[in-house]
Amino acid sequence: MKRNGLIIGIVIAVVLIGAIGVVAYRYLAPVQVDIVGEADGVPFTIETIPHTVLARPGEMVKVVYRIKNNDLMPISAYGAITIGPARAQDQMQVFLSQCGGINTYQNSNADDYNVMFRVQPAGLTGSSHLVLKHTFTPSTPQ
Amino acid sequence: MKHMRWIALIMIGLLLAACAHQFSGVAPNPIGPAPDFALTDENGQPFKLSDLRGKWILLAYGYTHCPDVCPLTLSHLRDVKQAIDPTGDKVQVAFVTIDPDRDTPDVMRQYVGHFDQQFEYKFKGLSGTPAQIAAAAQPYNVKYEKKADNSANGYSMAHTAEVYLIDPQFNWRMTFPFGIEAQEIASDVQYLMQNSEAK
Amino acid sequence: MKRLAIISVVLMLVVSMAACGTSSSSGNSITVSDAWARPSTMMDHAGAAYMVLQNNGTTEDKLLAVESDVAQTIELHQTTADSGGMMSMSPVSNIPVPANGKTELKPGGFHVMLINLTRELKAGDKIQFTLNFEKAGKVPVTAEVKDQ
Repeated sequence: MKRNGLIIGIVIAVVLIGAIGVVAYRYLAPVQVDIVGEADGVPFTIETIPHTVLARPGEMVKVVYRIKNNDLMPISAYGAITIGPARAQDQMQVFLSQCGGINTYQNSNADDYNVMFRVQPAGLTGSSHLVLKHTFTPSTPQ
Repeated sequence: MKHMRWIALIMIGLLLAACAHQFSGVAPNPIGPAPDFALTDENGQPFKLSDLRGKWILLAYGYTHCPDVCPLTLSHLRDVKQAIDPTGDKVQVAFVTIDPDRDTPDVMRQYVGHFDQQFEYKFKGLSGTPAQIAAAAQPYNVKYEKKADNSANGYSMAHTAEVYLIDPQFNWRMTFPFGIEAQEIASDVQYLMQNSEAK
Repeated sequence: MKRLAIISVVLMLVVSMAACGTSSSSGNSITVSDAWARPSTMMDHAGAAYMVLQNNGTTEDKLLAVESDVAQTIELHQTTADSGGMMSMSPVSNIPVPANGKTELKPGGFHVMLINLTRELKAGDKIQFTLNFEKAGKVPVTAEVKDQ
């Protein structure tokens, strides 16, 4: 009888430790963020540096969008920022986006645009894999 | 179930406490010497940023006719210095105007004097010719332009509102974007002051 | 945990601001609280005032104008981040307050701009404002000058 009790006790302990481990991991582990740029109606070549980042929760991260306007003339474009998945939108705070909003992109070499953001941990309801996306569409200059 | 949550929370608390410092600013990659520049200080004297070598320098750009963003930035810098170096001269604040047409050295002295009243070691308020200002702003990626509003206040300036941290060896260590709170800046500066080898 | 910590810090800030003794005034469905202004830097430099507008009504209301003897011209402005992270402010014709919701005028966002101050503003001073809302009409507010 006593051995049964011991086995049950061990099983419960293992489950407990496992559960604690999972929860702790969700709160502490870095969040993977894919950095994506999409040109929609503008002749841009967009490179993101780096393509993906392991962001420690609470730490400011800086990434670069290297954008080249392949046209012969400068182009004014609007960069819309989206954070995915939709349920995890509040998990990221973008502090600076040099290619967000309306910008005029010169028709010369590629230019680097800084983006700074910070993520919250996945926690219980968030996501451990986020996507930061800038979508560029044509805009009229202000 | 109830106990599990408590155990988990306690463990998380312990682990969080043991976690390494998380920076709210971003370090340049690689870390290198801070760009120097020559301007005129609030007393009308020639000034170079490297005159402050040996101090932790908090550098910000703005203009005095800005009633919202710049007072916020300067009050943050005041709070940072109050938190980590209230009576000493280890932390030095420098504010550069990007509106030299209106912000003469005299105006700068009155303006920063408003924010450094409690300190023995005063803030630097820096002005100059438009060309000197441009040369001081460009290496720190500070962008600014005049905006003609329809306002009784005259024109306003659109400008980047970051705070730059330079260490006593005159290296550019950190950039804080707009939106970071004073205690976050203070925490990062304090961490770097205590761990001079940290990146 | 971190979110809890952030929320509790924000709550503490809100409570401590409320405890600073600024008055709360209401006109019909609008309640204005935590009104404060920065001490003036120089007489010919504009000042800024901030407050929390709470709309307890069932339709959206708009703050159209602010009157006070503290400045010759008073405008409503909004600070926004332009492209490249450039902060700039623009005059706005009104500040909307959603039904059953609130709009905060705070540093880095909406603010009341006080142009050509008629007197120096020192910490502890009080400023009388009359807020003019589209639906709620005139609401008097007392703001405290604070160094924060």
